[in-house]
Amino acid sequence: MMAIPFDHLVPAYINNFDAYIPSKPDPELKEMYGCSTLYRLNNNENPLGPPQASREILRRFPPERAAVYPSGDSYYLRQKLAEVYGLHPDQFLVGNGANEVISFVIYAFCEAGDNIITADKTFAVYEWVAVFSGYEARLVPLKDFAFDDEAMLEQIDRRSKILFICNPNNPTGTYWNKEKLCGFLDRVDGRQIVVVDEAYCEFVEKDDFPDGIALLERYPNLVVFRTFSKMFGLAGLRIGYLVGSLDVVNIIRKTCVVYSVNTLAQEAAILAIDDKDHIMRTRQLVAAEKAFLEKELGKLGLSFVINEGNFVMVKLPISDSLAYRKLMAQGVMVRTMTGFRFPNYIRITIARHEAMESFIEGLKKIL
Amino acid sequence: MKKADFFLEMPLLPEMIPILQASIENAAIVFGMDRKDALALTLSVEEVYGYMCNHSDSIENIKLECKNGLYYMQVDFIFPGRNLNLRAFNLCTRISLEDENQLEEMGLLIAARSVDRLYLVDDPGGAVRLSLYKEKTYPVVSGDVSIDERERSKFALMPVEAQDLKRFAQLTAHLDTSLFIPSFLLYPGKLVDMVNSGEYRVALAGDEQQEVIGGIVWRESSPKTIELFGPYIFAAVSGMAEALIEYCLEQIGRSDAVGVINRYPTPWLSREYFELLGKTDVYSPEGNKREAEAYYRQLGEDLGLKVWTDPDLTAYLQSQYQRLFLPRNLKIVNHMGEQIRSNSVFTSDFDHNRVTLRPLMDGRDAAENLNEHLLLFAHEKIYNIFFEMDLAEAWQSRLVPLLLGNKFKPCLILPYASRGDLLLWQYEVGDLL
Repeated sequence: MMAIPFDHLVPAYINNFDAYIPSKPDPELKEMYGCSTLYRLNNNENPLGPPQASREILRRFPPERAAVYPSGDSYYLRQKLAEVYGLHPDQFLVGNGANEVISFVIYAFCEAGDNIITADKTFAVYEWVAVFSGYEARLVPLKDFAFDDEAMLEQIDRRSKILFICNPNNPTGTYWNKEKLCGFLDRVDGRQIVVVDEAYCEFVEKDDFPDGIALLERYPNLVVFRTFSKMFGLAGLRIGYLVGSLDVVNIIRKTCVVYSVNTLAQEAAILAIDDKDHIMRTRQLVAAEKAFLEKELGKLGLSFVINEGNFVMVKLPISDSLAYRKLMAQGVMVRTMTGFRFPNYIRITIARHEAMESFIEGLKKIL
Repeated sequence: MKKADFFLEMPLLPEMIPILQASIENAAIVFGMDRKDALALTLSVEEVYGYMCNHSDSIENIKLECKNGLYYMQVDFIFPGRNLNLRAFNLCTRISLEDENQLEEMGLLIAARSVDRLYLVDDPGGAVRLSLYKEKTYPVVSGDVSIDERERSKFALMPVEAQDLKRFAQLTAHLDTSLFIPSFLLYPGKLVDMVNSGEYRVALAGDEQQEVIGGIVWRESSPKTIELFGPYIFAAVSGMAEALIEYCLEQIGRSDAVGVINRYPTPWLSREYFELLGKTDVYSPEGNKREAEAYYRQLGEDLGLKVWTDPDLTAYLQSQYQRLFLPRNLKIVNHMGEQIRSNSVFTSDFDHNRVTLRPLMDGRDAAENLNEHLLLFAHEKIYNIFFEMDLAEAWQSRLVPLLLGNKFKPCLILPYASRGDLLLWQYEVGDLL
């Protein structure tokens, strides 16, 4: 067999990067752990699923349209987003999930020797994309479970290109209010691109929570990420987008992979975005079940982190990965948090009441 | 620190031996080895090369990779196929002076015994990699070292500087003698080189005066496993051990490793972060026995594994996997008279008065070979005898009846510690004592 000269072919930053291996599909997991049902509480999906109008589109989709390419740049979805937010359609770039638009931004602005700045305990993909693309990821420790604005600003040097802020932060649910975000943007003063990832913004009801899109006019270096995977229940279709000033988005467009978003995702998203009732029902469910969890976790004497978003972090007196395996055997799948640099924490997605009850019952058995 | 690895590619011709000798010896000296160690490694390389010249008509060129590991030098021979009879790499091989064929293998025996470790592994692309690994000699920790016993209320993780590392090693070496301290911590200079090599990492905790009062060490022991040593605490400060453990876990949480193993737990290892994997017996040189626990934790979600087993081992594996909540698909290996090679090869890895056997190749003489090893260890008064079996390698399960019939008992499953889970067997020394 021919020996491939990997030493010569593979860049050092790829050799040094460790691949992420996602969970196996549910049937495989059920067989592995011997459970007949499985509550997925690991990916912050919406237990209510997609909004009603999106469901209709999925049901009615004519199979023969699967043979035809989608709109390469999500033309109608961008029109719709522009209408909703009062912006130009070209200020939006749609990707195969928000993960893809992270790559677009990093590829557009970084070159060898550059760095990005984000937190150490946040959504991992900013760090991953930077590192496996050969750029430095400067990770600033969280302060009281929240992004530390001062420490992030201190990390900036002339090779810093992008600052990523997850608002509210996954997995801690903390957020910067409008005053803090604007203060930070003022200090950056347009010298770097500031990305505010608002994947969970629709879950936040606090008055002081900033709407990043509304700040675009004031801060042309701001780029906002949104997704249809969380509140809008379209995670399986993979669709998210970024929005920014026209000048910035025109640069990012150069690295944007077109035709990566399928027809179903585009059409389901167009109909999802108007469904205010879906947002309201989801928020009610999340609030009720968070209150239930808060009460039950308190009874168990466990410390937990409940803030914004449809998730909760719990600190366990046992290894999080052992808890994962023991809970899996009872049909409850949680997210271990050592990979988020929170050893012995688990993150639980807020779901329907029976799932939350199963989780609490499972927890009682394993502790 | 920039490393100075280099490669040699040369024809397999005896007249090339002086070139090879000069290259390896000079490299070893440049890499900081003392003359005695450099000569031992050179001798080992020369013997392997000479052996291959005589036995490998089908191999024209050979590639050697020479690695400067800072605290060791490693020379890898990379050649196609498994064309050599490697029986002489068994530590116990006794050469019969009456048998000319065996005399030719004397060189390999010398090679095996001149280095600290010897590995033989399959390389990508159908090649075989034979690694000769020789560590440098370092001065052992000496003198009485302690810290003052004033009360301390605060600690902070501190930057890892060479002098602090040496101090850490010295303090660790002088901890309670009942602790099982890994041998490398007895050599402060070696620890510094280990950390500088990037293969070992250390976190240190200091008091208000930046004096080292605790630390923890870890390294990648296999592509999927981190081995953790410690934590070692020299002054009681609340939360310090947990902080060291959490720091380590945060550093490796996003790595490719699946799990963390601690085979040298200390009283300061917070059990909340770990699972008890099992116990082994540890014998002192005088033959006194005590139990040693091994702890483990995974870094993420277990992805499940296929495990090969012999029928005689299945019940044990099932009970252990059930206890550890590890999802494993057990597959019984059936041995149906298929042809196997004549000579088995086991490598021996020594650490203090402990030896670990690893099967490199199966062979019809496996029983005889194992017995010869055991006789040798008995002669050398080595009581801590282990055998590692990779449960992802079906051929290794053929050795199960042999081990069970020779007073070995399965004692620990180390998840993901090899290609798959690693089953550690311990020899019940009874009669040796």
